[in-house]
Amino acid sequence: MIRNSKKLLKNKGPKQQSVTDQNTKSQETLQKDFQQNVNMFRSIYLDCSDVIFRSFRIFGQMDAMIIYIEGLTDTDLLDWNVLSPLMKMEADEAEPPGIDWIKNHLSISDTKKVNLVADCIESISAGRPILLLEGELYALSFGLTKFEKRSIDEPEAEKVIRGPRGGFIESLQVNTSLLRRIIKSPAMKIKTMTIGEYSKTSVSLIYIEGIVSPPLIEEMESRLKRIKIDGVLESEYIEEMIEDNPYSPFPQFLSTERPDVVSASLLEGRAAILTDGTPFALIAPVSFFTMLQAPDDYYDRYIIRTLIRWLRFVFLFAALVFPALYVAITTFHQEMIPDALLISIAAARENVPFPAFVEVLLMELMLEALREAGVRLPNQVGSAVSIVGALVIGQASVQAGLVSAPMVIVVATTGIASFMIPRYMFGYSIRMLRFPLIILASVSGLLGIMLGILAIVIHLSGLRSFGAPYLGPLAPLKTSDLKDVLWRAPMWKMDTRPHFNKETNINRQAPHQEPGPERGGRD
Amino acid sequence: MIKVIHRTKHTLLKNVLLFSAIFVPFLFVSGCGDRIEINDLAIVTAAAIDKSDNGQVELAIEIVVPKSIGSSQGARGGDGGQATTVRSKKGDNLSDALSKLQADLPRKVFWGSCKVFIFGEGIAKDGIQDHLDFLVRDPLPRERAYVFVSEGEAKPFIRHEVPIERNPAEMIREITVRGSVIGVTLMELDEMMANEDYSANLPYLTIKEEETSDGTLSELPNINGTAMFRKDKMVGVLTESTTRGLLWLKDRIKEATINMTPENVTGDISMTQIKSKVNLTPKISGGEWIMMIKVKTEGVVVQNSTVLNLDDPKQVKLIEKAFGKQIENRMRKAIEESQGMKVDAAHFGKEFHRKYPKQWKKVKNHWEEEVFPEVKVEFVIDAHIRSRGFVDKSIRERGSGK
Repeated sequence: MIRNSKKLLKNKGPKQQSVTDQNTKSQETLQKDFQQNVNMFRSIYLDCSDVIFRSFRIFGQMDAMIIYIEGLTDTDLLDWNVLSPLMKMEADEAEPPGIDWIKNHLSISDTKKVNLVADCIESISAGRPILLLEGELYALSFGLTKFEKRSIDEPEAEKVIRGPRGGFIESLQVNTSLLRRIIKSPAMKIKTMTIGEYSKTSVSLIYIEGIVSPPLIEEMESRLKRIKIDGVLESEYIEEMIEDNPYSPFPQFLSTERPDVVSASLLEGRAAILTDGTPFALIAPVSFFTMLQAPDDYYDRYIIRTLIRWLRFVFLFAALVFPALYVAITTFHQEMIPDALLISIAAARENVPFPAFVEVLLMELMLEALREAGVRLPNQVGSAVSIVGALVIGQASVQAGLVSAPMVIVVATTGIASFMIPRYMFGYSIRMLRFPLIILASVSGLLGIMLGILAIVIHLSGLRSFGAPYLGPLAPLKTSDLKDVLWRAPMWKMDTRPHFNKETNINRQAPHQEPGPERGGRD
Repeated sequence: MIKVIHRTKHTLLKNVLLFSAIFVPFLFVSGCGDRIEINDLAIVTAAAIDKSDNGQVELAIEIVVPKSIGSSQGARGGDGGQATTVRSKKGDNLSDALSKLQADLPRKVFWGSCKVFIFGEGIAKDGIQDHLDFLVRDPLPRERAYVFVSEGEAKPFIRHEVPIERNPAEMIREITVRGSVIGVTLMELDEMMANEDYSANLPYLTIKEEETSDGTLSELPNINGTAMFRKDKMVGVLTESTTRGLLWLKDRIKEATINMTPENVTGDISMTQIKSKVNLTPKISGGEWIMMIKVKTEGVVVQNSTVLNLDDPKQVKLIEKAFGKQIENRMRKAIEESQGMKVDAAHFGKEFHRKYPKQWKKVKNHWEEEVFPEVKVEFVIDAHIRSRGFVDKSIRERGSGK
């Protein structure tokens, strides 16, 4: 058995190649011969029980066939607006019945003439029924797609206190419509392409013409077109295929479920990639600091949000180095600890059997395990995990003398700090990087931490997201862009867009709009 | 224009090589050499240095015993164990004694938390320079630790059990930080010793008997006066009240309540000084060395048992005069006593050196022995009452008024 399956695996490669070849016979067109066309589709959809072939006669004389996929097409509309009129129609003596005549007499807004077989297949796959007619080189494709979809909910991972609650869903059409509802200008362009040899996933590249830099769109399009993959199930598939530095621990796209975040990014001159089948949109180019901007930052008073942003910076640093600092200071630089604290730590550590490094590693790994377990578990079991985590791991391990109480505080603080990062994926990177820092700290104290941070900063300085420096606008410094990085400037101060593409329209709004009573009515 | 950098295929390899070239040797070179866990440290909170037989020194250190401080359950460790313990060893010098101490201890001596060094009276009289050398040369003892001289042997001072604070060292240090004594750090002592203009003085510790809650007497360390040094040898002690005069003079007083009786009045007035500024102006006229001491001070009346009315400017003047006089008396006493001991505790030498460098050169070798005791002192005192408190007349006055 095993040997057989190995053989199968070996053979998979070339076989797949041949299937791919068959699928890419894209230039083949429909034939004049109706029966030949029908046979061809029947052979293509052999053993596809979900594909419905419905043959009937128009005017009682012309053979026709409708092909669609069950569950993807609105059959009520199909019955009433296509089948019923065509079957009941009396032939018009004056005009010979033809495809254009039929097209003109069907009350369906979205009707297309298709000629290529590949286009027909794509149409059927997308839920648009195909009407084949006797003696015609063209088929009609009707926009009668209808399938089950989730309602628009608030994204679980990106909640806001104040702000729009709608989130993307798994349907690309709904998602683009959500965007179009926000940005109504025709300058917002949506270029859709199909990626995935088998999945035929629609992927849309969205940008605002006149704001975005054209070379960026060219580059994105060419990178998207380079993708040769069997299926795209999530936008991560695309992300990993087109990012600048595939070996970096840092995400070079902002992935979000929120249409408002995507719109804001589009308005800043970024481009978005929407993938059918996933609510997660990708935004590029982004920087380190984009990852630290939460949607709330713009939906609340700027003074408060600036303070919260600073808090976030502090905790970002804490999430990265706090456990490492603890290890470094308690095992190398005890002189840095205030006397009273040193004695308390010494007392707490008295019965702990492990060195501080092992203690930290143990607890941090436990925290990560708890977090990961919490993500997987259903809600009913989730509370059990938190009880086990808080009571067993936290309290019991301290009481049993396995770890010291200060260590639990350090690990807990780190945990909280890492969840303060608004972008979950970015939080992962930070959380992951603290482990090498802990190791460096245990080897050579603060020096090790500094070297580790140095390595991270060097990496970040070299990193680019679609050509935009990842540390921008801090390095290279662009002072006017700091208004949305170090603090959150009020709306009337954000006159310019970020400068990562400077050749396009940089002015976001009219300057000098600071409100005040004397401006009312006169200005 | 956006430049899109296409990375070459070798980037990963190059990065990995670069990374390992930098970090891998670094891991081996550093080798965890200085690594030490907190529970392998013997945390020293105070050190006492005493004279021993045969010219040896005895070093006693007070070490924290973490396990008796409180278990991880949060409860205090109970009365069973002292939070600190004292170990001592004799040696040819401090470093010798310390290495012997270390040899007997299961944990590494950690000086980082040692904020108190106490020299015994005997060793202070013999000279502390050689011992000080170790304390300031070695990087481990803190330069900001306070140094004291004790009456008699120093070792008992770090042995006492003290109420309120955790250990005697903590208590002594906190009293010093409060500002009612002149705390001298290792660094300051080193400067004093190295300076030709003036000599050192250190707070002087004595044992005071105090009645505890259960009626028994307990011995507590107590800062009581100032040990005066000429060069590195202790020559005498200023009493506590004189020490306060010295504190005034050096502008180091933080909080002081002064009691006085103005002229021709019965009862007394207490004032808390809230602001004080002392200016020393040296003057040499006709071979006579004079030090002008200008004091500007402000006080708040905290208690008044006299008949004086604090709303009357004339009577306030009277009080201010008495206030000034009181301060002058204290300073004068401190100066006279230090002149008697031939120790320039208030650092007049520094002022003369600055203003009259040439004359100073002539006397600098016999400044403390001959010139300093003859320095005349003149006072210009500017004392004010800032606030009289919530009441104007004393209760007695108000009662008999109408």
